Amino acid sequence: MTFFSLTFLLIFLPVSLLLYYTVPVSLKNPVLLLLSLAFYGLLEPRFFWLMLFSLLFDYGAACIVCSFRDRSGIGRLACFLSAVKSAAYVAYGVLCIRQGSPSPAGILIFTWSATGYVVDLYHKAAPFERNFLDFALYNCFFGRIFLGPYVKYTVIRPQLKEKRLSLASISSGMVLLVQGMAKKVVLGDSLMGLYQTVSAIEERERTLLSSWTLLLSLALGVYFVFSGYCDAARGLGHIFSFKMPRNIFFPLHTGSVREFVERFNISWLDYLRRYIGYPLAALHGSAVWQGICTAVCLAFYGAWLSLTPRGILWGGFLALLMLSEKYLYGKLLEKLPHLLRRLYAGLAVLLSFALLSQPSLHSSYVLIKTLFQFEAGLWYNDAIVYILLQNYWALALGLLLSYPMIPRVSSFIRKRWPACANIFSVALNLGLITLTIMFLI
Amino acid sequence: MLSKRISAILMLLILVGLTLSCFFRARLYGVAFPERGQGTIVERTEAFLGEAVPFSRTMRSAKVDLKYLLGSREQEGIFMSGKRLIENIEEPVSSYVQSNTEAIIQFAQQQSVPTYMSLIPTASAILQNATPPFSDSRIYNQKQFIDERYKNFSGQLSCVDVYSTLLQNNSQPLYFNTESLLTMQGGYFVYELLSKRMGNAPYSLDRFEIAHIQQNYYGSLYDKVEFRNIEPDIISIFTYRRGLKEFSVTHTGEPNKVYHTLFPQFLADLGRPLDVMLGGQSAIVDIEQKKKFRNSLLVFCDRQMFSVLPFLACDYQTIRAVDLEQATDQQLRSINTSQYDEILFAYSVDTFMHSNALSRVGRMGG
Repeated sequence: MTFFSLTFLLIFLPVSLLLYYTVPVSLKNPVLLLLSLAFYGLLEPRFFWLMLFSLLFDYGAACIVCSFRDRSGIGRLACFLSAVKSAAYVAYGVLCIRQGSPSPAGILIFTWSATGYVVDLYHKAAPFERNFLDFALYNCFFGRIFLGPYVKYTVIRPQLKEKRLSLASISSGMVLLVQGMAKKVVLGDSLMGLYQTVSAIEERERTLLSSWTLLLSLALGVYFVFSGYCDAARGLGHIFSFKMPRNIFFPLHTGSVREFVERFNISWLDYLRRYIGYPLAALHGSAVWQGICTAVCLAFYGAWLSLTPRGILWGGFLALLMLSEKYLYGKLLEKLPHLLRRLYAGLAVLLSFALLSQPSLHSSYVLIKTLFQFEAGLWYNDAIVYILLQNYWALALGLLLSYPMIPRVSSFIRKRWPACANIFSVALNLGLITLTIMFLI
Repeated sequence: MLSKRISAILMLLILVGLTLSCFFRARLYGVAFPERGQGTIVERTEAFLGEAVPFSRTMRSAKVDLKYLLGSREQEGIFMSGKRLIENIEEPVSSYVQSNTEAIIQFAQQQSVPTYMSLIPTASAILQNATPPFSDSRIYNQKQFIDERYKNFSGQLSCVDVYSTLLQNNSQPLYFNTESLLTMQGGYFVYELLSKRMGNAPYSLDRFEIAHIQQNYYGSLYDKVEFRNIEPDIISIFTYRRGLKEFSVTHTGEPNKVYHTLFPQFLADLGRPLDVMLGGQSAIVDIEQKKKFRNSLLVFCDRQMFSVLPFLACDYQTIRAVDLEQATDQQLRSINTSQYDEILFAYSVDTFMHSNALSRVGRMGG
């Protein structure tokens, strides 16, 4: 069961709301934990006990760090063991992918969140959580089990201890949840479907138009799927009184690759910088070393999107572009008109997706070559014209909505005609939930 | 904020309303929760909700219409062309094709009676003028596939090419609008060619009386893509009018059944209009002419042939139609091929490409 199913929307969510809002405040966290465990049990029954083991292991490590605060060697060993355990889980995920099955859901979330907490505890940046249930809830809350966001325990802890339930929070949560679902189910899935169709075209039949369509559909598809999950996670957080930060903020319309990276998976980048980037960078001040640190961070950043060598390569390529912006042409870029900077960033990001879309470096190179193959007769063929005639709407809507147009229009209308804005907003939300259910059936 | 509150309240009401009405509707209309063995609990719940949600059919249909309006003329692998649905077939599974071919050749080598082979193309190959513009690249070249198979079979079996004839007559209603099956009109063209090739004189079409048994039939393609613009099918049967031929049709399977007609029309009233042709598909179907006539025929076929067999039945004393997908090993072993004067393999290209059932012919008795 995922968020994007009728079972979740029509059974799990209403039952969870009913249970959560009818039990006394003292029981809200245990009930939410039980619901999260039930959700994971239904989502990944094979992996349920491994997740429980991971939670217990990390809590044990946290207890050790707390008990031996004055003996840093033992604390460091506990942090190390927690990281090794999380790495082992990720290795298991990679093994699953190599064997042709998907990596277990949430594997990167509950393992590395808990390891981050143990490290924070060691650095005295977080207090020890005596209540295992709260610790477990922080790590496996069903709202963020798929794609995060990675929130520091110190951000969540006050919300776990003191519940602030309000109609306003539930309302904005419901709206976010439905918007996230619509993004994923209506646009994300259609764009990923388009990507799959175009990628099925044989290499020798690829044209200029099909190559651009391939990259554009992948970039937009990844954006809308990820953005959908993040909005749904934030929405569920609001509904169950957790305020979670934005994890993605219109990354496809930026002026530089650095901006794209900082807007695409905000919490994971923050996590990597906090636990890998800054500690590594502190070891040496040279520019080369700083560059290596950026590359290491972004390799992990890419691995998060795809637990394959392609993901790491993608991250590495983004690091290369970021470093080039910093040390080679950053100043020139700043002097360029806004539109040209956007064009540069858009092109660079699209090219980076060539690494993700192809199984090997050579085929990525061939794909990039066809992107700039302007010989007559190689621009388009019947196959891509047919595919675009079927799917142009998804591509057009994706391009339009990847730009922060709706928030701007909405705030403009809200200022000028507040009543109209309210009516428009209600109609839009009701339309979205109807559309979502229509696409789920 | 007001708009968010109103939206949230309305959305919650919609969700709770839908959930409650699912259970009421399930009780009212008898939507059953899928039994164990039909997937995990989540998959079964999903299937149940998909059926029980109010207006589920309307919503499915609205989704199809919306995508159609936006330009999607192919959904779920089905082309939507104005008034009809045409299933697009996938690339063949080469291992199945190879095992089917080898088994049939091996079988034919062991037979002392004439053995024939016919591959029947699907609508996506024959009705290419009805498929969406630029879709040629998406349509698998069935002509080439058939020619290659016939080349494999040459010298071992007599191959009967029906592709060209069906293509020449594609302005006629050869296939159903909402099913991937030949109509009886299409079946007649296949019969005519088979009959000639097998040394018989085919009966002309005017010897058959046409009766329309159902006017508004929506088939399995419509279940997949509920496109409202579709013209429903008219199910017609062609009965031999002269000479008073009488038949009995015996189904061996679960359970055994006997019909004293080629077209048990009462099945249409039971909601199975396609089963009117020979009473539907079973592991083994025996068709017998009551008057003494010549020759017997053993046919290995799929459902596609059920619109052809009623015509072929007029040419033979007995026909035994075997469905290799459904027949058990014991049933296959019990068939004595030497009892028949001719043997025919007649399959839809789709079945030949995507099922290895034909390779079971190797398990036959002598």
